[in-house]
Amino acid sequence: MILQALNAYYDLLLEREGDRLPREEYSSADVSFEVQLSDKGTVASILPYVNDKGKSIKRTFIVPKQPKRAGSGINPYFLCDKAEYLFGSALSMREACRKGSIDLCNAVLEFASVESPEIISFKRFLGYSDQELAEQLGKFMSPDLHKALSSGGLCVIKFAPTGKFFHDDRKIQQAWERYYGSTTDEESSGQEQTCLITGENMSVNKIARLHPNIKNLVGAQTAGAAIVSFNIPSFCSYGRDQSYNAPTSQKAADAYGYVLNKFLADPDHYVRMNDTTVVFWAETTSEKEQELLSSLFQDFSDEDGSKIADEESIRMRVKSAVIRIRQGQAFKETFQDLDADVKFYLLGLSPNAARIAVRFWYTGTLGEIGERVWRHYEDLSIAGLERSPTIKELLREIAVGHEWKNIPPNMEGQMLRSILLGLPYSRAVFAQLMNRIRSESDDPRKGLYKIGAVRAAMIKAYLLRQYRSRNHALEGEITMGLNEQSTSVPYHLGRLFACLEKAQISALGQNINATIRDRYWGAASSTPANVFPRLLSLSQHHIAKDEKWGRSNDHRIQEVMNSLPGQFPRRLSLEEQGMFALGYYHQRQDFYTSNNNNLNEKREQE
Amino acid sequence: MGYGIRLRVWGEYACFTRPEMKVERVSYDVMTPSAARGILEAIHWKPAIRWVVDRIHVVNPIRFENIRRNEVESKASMKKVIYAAEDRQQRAALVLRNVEYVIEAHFEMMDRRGDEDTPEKHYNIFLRRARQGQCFHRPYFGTREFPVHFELLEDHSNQSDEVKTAHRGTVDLGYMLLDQTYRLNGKGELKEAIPHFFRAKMVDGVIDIPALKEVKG
Repeated sequence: MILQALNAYYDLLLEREGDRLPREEYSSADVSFEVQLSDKGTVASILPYVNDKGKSIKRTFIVPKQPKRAGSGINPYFLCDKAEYLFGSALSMREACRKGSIDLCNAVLEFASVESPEIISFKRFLGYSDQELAEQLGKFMSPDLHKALSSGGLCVIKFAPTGKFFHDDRKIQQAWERYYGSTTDEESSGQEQTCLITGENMSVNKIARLHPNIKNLVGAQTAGAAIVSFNIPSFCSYGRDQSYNAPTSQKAADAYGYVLNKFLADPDHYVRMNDTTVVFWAETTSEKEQELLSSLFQDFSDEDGSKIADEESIRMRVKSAVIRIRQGQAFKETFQDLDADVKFYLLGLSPNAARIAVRFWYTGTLGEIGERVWRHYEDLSIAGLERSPTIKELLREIAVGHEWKNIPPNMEGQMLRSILLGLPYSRAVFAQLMNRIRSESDDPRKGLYKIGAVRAAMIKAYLLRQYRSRNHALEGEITMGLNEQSTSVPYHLGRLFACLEKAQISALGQNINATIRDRYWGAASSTPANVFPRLLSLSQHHIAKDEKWGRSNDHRIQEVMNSLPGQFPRRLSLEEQGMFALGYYHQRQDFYTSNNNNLNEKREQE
Repeated sequence: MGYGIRLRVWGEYACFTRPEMKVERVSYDVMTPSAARGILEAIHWKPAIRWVVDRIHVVNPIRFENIRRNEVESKASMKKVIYAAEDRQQRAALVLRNVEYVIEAHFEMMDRRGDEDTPEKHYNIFLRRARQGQCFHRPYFGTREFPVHFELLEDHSNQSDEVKTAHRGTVDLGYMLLDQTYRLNGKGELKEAIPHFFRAKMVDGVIDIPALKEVKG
């Protein structure tokens, strides 16, 4: 399933990119140095790869296949190797390495049919004794370069007269391909096994002994870690060792490794969620579908200005999802130009030392996931929310002090899961959110509010999804804007609280040290019967004092009181507290918008 | 097949470990035929018979869940005892949640049958044991931690079609383990186990299991 899907994507890539993909005899390598050979085979210079600022970088080349090296044995590569193997004791490193390298290269070059200038030059390079080589190197060697070379890092070799790399030379490539074929065809034992990725029957020696390393995974070893590995006796069954426990053809293993590594090197294909790296891809060669996926999952807050210009780009369409939903647009209408039947895959990986564990795996069609994510945005839509928040932005609301780093672990994965499967959000997220609301107060300078649009949206979406999953009657009552017809008592309590606060502010001005919200929010939202009578009598003083707005505030309070039962409830559950907060937010939003309308009307009159 | 049986099995968790991801375990999407065979054998098996799974009905939606378990890193043997506390390995596993299947299977008589072994006898032993909930050991879904609840389905009037499933249409589940065959050495000891795979296709919740010989080709 996972490996099969990756392998299938490799076939797609093969179709699209053709020759640019490494074939069976080749693999891609990250290279740090370039060694230049003259036509006499002497080393002309060694150039470390650096960027504009002089920092060393790695460039990727497709070179003769490099099997995995483990331990300190001598395992040379052809044409692209560490300095230790190319120069050995000439750079005061292990002598045996260069010897092994020379043996390998000579063995490969025996398969060369003709002598080209390149081959002659390379053979001469191999023929130099350590002393001669040391002399050549000494001409340009600096301590810095020596240090860099000894720290490892692969070197590719260039033929200086033509400026072509040896591994790009067709004649040398042919020799390598023949050599490679001869090593794998040997010792065919006649026994056959089925490859569990492709289902092909193949002789046992074509089965991968070790699977490719997956690199760039956060938290894993830098050399990479493997998804398929059997390094401890308890992993092995029926006396098999290593990856013979899971018969896979070398070709298929290389293919899935290549694809996964490619995804992990491309920021459009993965997103990091705490300790889990989530890789996602659409099974198509078209870019658009992939772009939709990446904009659904990723942050786009830090995007540079130039890209934003295009209103109809897929990213912008996702960004404006909440507004489009408010206008009644469905997912299908917004993304008419995309193929909804394309399959998509989502793979959550997290490292465990040298191994990789699969944390989750989802598949579906683009249409399915689109509808689910749309649903999520629909649930979130609320008056005052003008931009679709990403998962991370949502979770920042429950982090202490709104710090990215304080986002509780595991929550991202849970959130993603509930969105993708259309499940209610986790209760832990909600509980934490209510906690944060209770304990924080506004900080307008940082743009942080006790109950801002995003928090209210989260409460709304949580309650909606919770009620929907239980077929609760309240589902229909949770609306984007103020709902005066609601039957929920906590909702009206929240509204009442907002009205009381408003009465206080219009009587005493904006600059009160502690408003009733700062003092009474916790108590009012959890044990209304204890607090509301006192707040109501307090509000009478505010109304009496306020000559300008007192009457309209009193009127509004009365109006909300009419929707409440005779007695205040003694205590509210966590969900009810959510309703309370939502009622409060809606009522405040309503003040704000009606004020705006009034102002506009006034302006028009003037 | 005259002596086919149908068994409804269900449980809270299941882990039909994929061979390629058996370290940090990832389960197959559905029960493998060999796991189904294991369940049947737990209820009744004798050397005289061999169970053949014909069809697996997948009743519940496929749902995965991630759990962590404490496992050990070495193997126990005659010479070696494992002290679990010193040998700990915490491993993640992606397991199936709330599974329910209906297994359709029959058995074949083997060479090692005695004079008294008739198909009727074994068929009835199985029926009796399954009805009463008897088993040699508690059957399990892939690993011992995930026990199986089972119930014999006996209504033969309207065969397979009344199994209700949550699945519609055709789903390609990729290559799955079918079963293993064993090669023995001269002394009758296990020399090699050869896994066989088949391309699993779920059509309206039903997976047809090919015979082992067909796959061997």
